[in-house]
Amino acid sequence: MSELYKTEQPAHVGWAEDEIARSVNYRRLAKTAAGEPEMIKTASGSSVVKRVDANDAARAQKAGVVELTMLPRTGFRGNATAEWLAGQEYPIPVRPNLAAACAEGNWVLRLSQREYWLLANPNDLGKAISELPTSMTETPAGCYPLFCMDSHAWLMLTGEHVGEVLSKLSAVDMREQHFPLGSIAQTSIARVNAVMVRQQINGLPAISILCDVASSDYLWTVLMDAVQEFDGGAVGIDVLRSA
Amino acid sequence: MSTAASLPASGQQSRLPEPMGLLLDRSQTVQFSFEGQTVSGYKGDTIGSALLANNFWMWSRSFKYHRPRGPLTMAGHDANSLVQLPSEPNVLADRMAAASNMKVTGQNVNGTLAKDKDAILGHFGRFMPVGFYYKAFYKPKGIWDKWEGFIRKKAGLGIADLDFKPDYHDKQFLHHDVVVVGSGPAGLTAALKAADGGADVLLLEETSVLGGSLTYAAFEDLADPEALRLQLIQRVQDHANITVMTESVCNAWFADNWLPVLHGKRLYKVRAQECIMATGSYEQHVVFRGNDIPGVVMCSAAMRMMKLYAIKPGQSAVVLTGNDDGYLTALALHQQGVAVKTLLDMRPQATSAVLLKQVEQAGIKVRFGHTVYEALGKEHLEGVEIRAITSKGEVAPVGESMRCDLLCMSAGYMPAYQLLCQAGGQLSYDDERAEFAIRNLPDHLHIAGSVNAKHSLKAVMADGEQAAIKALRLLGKTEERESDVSCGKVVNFEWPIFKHPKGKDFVDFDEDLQAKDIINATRMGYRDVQLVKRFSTVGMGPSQGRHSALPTARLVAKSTNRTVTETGVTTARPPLTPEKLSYMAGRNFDPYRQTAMHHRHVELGAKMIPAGVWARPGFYPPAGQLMTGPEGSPLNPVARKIRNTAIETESLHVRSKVGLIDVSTLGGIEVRGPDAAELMNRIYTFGFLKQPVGKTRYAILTNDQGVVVDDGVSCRFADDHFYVTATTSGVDAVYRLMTFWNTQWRLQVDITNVSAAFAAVNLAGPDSRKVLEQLTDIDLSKDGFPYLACREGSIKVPSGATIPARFLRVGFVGELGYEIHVPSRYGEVLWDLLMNAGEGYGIKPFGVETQRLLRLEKGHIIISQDTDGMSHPGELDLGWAISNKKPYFNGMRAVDIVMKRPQSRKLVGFRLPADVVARGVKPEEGNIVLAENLTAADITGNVTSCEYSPTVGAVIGMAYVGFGTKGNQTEPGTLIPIRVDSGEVVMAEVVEMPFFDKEQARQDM
Repeated sequence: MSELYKTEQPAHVGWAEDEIARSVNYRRLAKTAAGEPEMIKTASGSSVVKRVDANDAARAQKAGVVELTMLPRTGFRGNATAEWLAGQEYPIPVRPNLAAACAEGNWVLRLSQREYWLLANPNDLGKAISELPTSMTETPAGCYPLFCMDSHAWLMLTGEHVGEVLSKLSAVDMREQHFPLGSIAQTSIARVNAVMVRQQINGLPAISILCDVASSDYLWTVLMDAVQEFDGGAVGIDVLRSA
Repeated sequence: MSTAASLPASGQQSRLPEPMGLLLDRSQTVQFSFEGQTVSGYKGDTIGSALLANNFWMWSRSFKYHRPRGPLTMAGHDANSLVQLPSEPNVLADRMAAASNMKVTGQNVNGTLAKDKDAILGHFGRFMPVGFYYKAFYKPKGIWDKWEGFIRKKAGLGIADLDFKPDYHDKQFLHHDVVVVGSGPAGLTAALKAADGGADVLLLEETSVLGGSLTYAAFEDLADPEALRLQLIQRVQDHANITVMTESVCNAWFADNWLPVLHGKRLYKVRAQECIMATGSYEQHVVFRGNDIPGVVMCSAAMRMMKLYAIKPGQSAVVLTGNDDGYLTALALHQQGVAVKTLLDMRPQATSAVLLKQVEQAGIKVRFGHTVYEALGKEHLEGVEIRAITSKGEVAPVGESMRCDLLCMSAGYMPAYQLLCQAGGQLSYDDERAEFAIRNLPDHLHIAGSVNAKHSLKAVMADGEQAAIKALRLLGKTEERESDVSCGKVVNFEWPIFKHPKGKDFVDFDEDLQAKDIINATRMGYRDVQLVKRFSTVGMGPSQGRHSALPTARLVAKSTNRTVTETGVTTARPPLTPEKLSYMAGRNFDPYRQTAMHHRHVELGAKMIPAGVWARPGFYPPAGQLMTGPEGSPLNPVARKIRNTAIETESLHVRSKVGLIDVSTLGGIEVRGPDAAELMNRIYTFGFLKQPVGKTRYAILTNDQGVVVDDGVSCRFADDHFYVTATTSGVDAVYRLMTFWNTQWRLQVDITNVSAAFAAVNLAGPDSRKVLEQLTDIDLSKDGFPYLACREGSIKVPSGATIPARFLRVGFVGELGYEIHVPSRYGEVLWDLLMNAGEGYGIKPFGVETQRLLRLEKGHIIISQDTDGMSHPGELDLGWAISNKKPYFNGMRAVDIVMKRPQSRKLVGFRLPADVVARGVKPEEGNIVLAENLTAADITGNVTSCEYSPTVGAVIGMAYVGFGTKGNQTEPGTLIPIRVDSGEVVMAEVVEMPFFDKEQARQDM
């Protein structure tokens, strides 16, 4: 086992004291060079980092890493899922491993013939997604809500170097010309299974990484290491939100 | 010319005027030390070229005889140029860039480079024939112990710096349509053609500049190679489809064009759809006595010295050649002011009348059918003895001596075959051309240029273009068909080997192997070239046969009366060049998993232990006890005592008050849909169709061999909703099994692995109800929420918010207890809430090791600890959890069969007598159980769990013991012999389980 898990992290983080829902990685963002980061509440009442420091925008252009684990997302699976989602005017990607952006900024990921995940729009901080049902009693027969809000962490890489950063971690070619907008790869990065989605958010090239939540502390350290080469680092969700 | 110590360094000699010195930036100087003396050079110099510019021609000593060695190829292709840096041995002096403040020394030296005490070994060569080390040192018996220290001291190349601090190295994948290895005229042409055709091209070059032979060689059919090089480079640099990587070594070829490329401190893992190897060829030396003396170099090395580094390689030179390139070298030397005393052409006549004329016009005397028979000199070449060639490998009895300080030789070329042979390519020898050609390459791997036996510049470039056309066609980017390129130019002399009765006619410079060594190996019966390699070590050194493979093949062929094709060369294996371990070790990925409560355990000082990739708290030692590093090792008696005390304390606390353990790593699977119960019924051994909603049921999974492979608790929250737990390490396999079967069964059910989605704790102990009551509105009374019930509800947070939760009344540790499962994002807060609510009841956390003791006291098994690859339900007394009424469950048929077979063992509980415990003897997991006759050959079983229980007041455990066909050791009161680690056999008493609370009253409170 790696020694990384012994990395000292603060026992208590001021902004997190009143949070009942916490990302596994919240301590990693407890302190920045500029002090504590600015936080913002998601539609479901949890906190995500709004801004790490004044250089967020510059880092995000190169190789930013955004911790979006507390931003709402959900998933549904079953024969009736596509019809049910379409009835709510969500776009249905034409085949598995494609993602489609909704007009208002949410994303629909088609992971198999009958499995769909929905990622929140940073602008509304997940309002639309957080209002979707979480219990099978609230969905039609043959449409089962999934647990990706808790089973998976959501990290996002941004900037011009995302393809190069990921080429250090994964055997899949995720440069934009080979992994264009809307592409999904269900693969392994740094030996952790992950769903990777190519997006464009607020003008930034971006790849969402949805990985096993229990491995996300490990993956955070890996990503931080990988972006160093490009003067990248952690950034807040503001870089994804239109002014 | 001088050596490091025989003559003082004279400072940097004046360099040749431009355009010589292609790589030099003469405006910037570098200064470093070599053997304690100052060396000056220019930016762009290698260590080697700077040494030459300062008249240092002896760089190191050879491996076996400690002979002076210096430049041979000037291309980093030979081991003669290995030097030592303080923290790095085996540095290629003619490859590594010179930098200021370097401290460079020679290698393989006993004393100093100039006065090497081991140089005397050269005089005892006849006592060290090939393979002598296989015969010496072993007799008489025991003598090896005397020799070993001496041999270890002499073995190896260079000195490793044991205080070296590792650098950061990492890896990166690259993906390209076409990868071209080598940027000579063939590689450049191929890259341009492929890129023009729309392919995404990666061009790899091992040196710092593009151009290959265009950078240093002269061509009969091209007056200005530099102009061509610049033109091609310009096109490459301007091409949007070409990525160039210089100083990048493609170090192997693996299936499907997976190419490891070393560059700086990174290993690039390159994937190419099409690969064009334009790796060129290695100029070959002539085998004659003294062919290793500094001052004897390849023709191409002299060309590199002049063209790349503006070094004038000597004052008076002799050129020895078997091809036209020697003529071009002689002309270049002449043009740069070197007096070329004679050109020895081993051939009977010239093939190029034009070149012959040019050489003669330059006043250089040409002697056909002559060779150098011996090079003269010690630390630098002083002259040569010339003899007429009378027949293959034979020379006239009398020769002529000639003084010179430079001998340039070219016996021909060997294709850079190593990467291609790694890919399965085969070498076939053309007797007329005296040259190997490469055939039978895999699809999508192509060759071009001199590696493909094309030697005229025109043919080389045409070949590069045709290789690119083939690659483009296979990529679907062109319909054009490639055509064959012919080249009639012959470059290899048939037999450039002139064995000398006094030896030192080196075939392999790396290992100091002479012509007679190879021949003697065949005479000893090692006829196969692979065996010759193993016996003589030819080709095993750092240069990996680049220069020794061809003469070895020729010598073995001749000695064994076979053709060179029949003899072949030895297998080429990765890596191509010596590869630092840091390339493989750098930035390895070592995933770990943490629960949502992980940091709470760390903050509480838990001893974290691995459970697969999870980090789990083993136990919580008292504050201040250091339990990390060597101090925390279970082998440390102090650490063991801390562990034992902590476990005993925690277990007593759970039995008497209340404890909390993080069980988030437990597997969890959601089974939902109209057929959920049917799926559960088919997967697990028990009956689940009638499992009531709100109840749990023990679930055992067997495999197709009837072996118990997993267990868990099935919770039914609705008619169409089950939540079943699984073991930490087994859940992924269980999930796979469920989905595998349901693709065939097509039941209306959704199966989701939610292991990481839920954080979970087990709140256990007599006071657990009182603690939990503060946090939930669920009726927790004995009747309202009885043992083995499950509920969905919520946990109240002081702010008024609630956390959705699932509650399970479980009895794994044998106390009143509740498993509480919440979405992982709430895990840390759940821990805090329970610890706060339990404060008034003295709540304490307990770890996995304590949990193992608690469940042992209750006789509960842990799958894979108390079971193995043969454990069927009958051996585990789990017959009660098998439903014989249903038509099917996974593994049912096998379970039926194994349960009906005569049984030979059974899992039982045992207890160690107090007198054994008093002696500090305790069986460990894995210790064997013997039959009553105590013979070691009659093993009846093994211990699976064993621990001291403060509650029971004894060392207790579980073990497989003999039963049925192996007697009967299962009856309570039976004494079973257990052989402990020390070898002692202790007698333990079989007892009924559970060891504690036999009435099961405590968990049912």
